[in-house]
Order: sequence, then C-alpha cells, then structure tokens
Amino acid sequence: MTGPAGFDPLIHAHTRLSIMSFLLPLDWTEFRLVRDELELSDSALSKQLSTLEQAGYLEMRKAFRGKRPQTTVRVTPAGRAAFDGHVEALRRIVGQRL
Amino acid sequence: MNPTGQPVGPTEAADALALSRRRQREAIAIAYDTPWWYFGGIGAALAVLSVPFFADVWIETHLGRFVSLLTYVVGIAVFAAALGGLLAAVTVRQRTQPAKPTEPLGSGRAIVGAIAVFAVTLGVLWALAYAVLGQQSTANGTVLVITAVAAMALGRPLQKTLRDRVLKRRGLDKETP
Repeated sequence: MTGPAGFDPLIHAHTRLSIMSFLLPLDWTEFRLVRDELELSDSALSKQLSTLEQAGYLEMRKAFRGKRPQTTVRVTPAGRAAFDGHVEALRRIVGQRL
Repeated sequence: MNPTGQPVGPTEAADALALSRRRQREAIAIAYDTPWWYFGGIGAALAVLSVPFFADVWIETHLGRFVSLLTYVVGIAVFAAALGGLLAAVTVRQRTQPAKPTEPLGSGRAIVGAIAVFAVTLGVLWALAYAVLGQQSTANGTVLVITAVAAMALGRPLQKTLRDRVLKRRGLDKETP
C-alpha cells in the first residue's frame, strides 16, 4: 500500500516532523536550541538528526567554540522540497486546500 | 502510510499539520524576539555620538580646538565600542536564535533596496536639518538623535512587522490552516 504522492514516512514520524518544522524557518541552528525547544534528550535528538541527515534532508556542521564542541544544523533544499511535498500530501488527506 | 505501517487518516493528517504549524510558529517567534535593549543600545550609542557634534562650537570656543578634536575622538571611540559590543551580541543571538536574514523581505535585492531607502532618508533628513539649522555639525547631531530615537522607538515594532511578514509568507498567519 502506498501513500499519496509526496507523502514521506520518514518525515511523518512525530519527532522528525517536529524537528523539520522547527528548523525550516531557521538558518544554521544550534543543537542545544533544538533539544531544549523540542524537549528531547541529546541521544534522541542525535539519532533523529542522523536519520534526517542520511536522507539528505538536513546538513550538520560540527565545530569547536573554545574547547566546547558545537553542532549546528539546517534543512537542505532537498529536505525543504520533501517537507513541502509531505505537507501537501497531508493537506490532500485532510481533504481541504490550505 | 505512517511509520507504524498504518494508513494515515484525515485526523492523523490534521494533527500532523497542526503540529508542523505550531513548531514553525515557535521557531519564528524565537527568531524574531530580539530584546528591547538591543535597540535601546543602538539608540544610546548613536545619542552618545551626537554629543560632540552638538557641543562642537561651544567646546571649540571655550576649551580650544584640541579639546574639541579630543571630544570627537572620544565620542567616536565610545560609539565604536558600543557598536562592537552590540554586533557581538547580535552575532551570538544569530547563532542561538538564527533568523534567515533574507526571509522577511524575500530576497537579498529587497534588503539592498531597504538599505538604499534608509540611506536616502538619512540624506534627506540631513539636508533638511542643515537647511533649517545652517550648521553642519549641528545637522549631523540632529540626524544622529533622530536616528537614535527611531531605533529605540521603532526597533521592536519593526521586528514584529518582519515576523508577521514571515508568518504570512509561510501561510502561518492564521490560527487555523
């Protein structure tokens, strides 16, 4: 059984949908901001970010600020396209043009 | 199908859309919530810079040219230090609450246009001030004070306008989809 065109099961998972939605309006965003705002543990967020990165939906940048590691993340153009397609599919399921 | 393999129904889809909208709105609210003191700081720095311009003639007459020059140097140094501090704070803020700089106006070209309008407005203000006051340094000071007051008074409302534009561009300006 396949979903409607554009429907993306990878994005649809609750946590990943939250992450993608939160990151979409933002530029490079610190890991800790996403973690704190979405109330996720470090490991849970890491795992979901890796999944989205492997799908090509996010890009991650790891750097050091002083001695502290700092990870920032942002949505790629492919991620944005997939997200937009997914939202369109959801709208079609709901049955109203938004 | 959802991640558990079940077909996605209208209720689940509507919930997912609501979640997505809520998260986007939260992110935008964070990105466009610069504290008032950033704008207050810009205004205060400009106001400090205006002092040597207003006091120029008096200082030169009563205290001499050297002190007048020194006042300018100190004024510019204070302004530069304040501006540097603000830029550092903005950099930190942009890192932790990162708005997309081109989004409110839609493109880099629109930003350049907005800066051009700002520069022309300043030029016109200066010309008016010079025409009325008849003295260059006082006109400089007046424009700086007007800009300082504008930054303090309009900073937050302008940011709210930019935020509303972003919400509208993303179709998030209404409570319900």
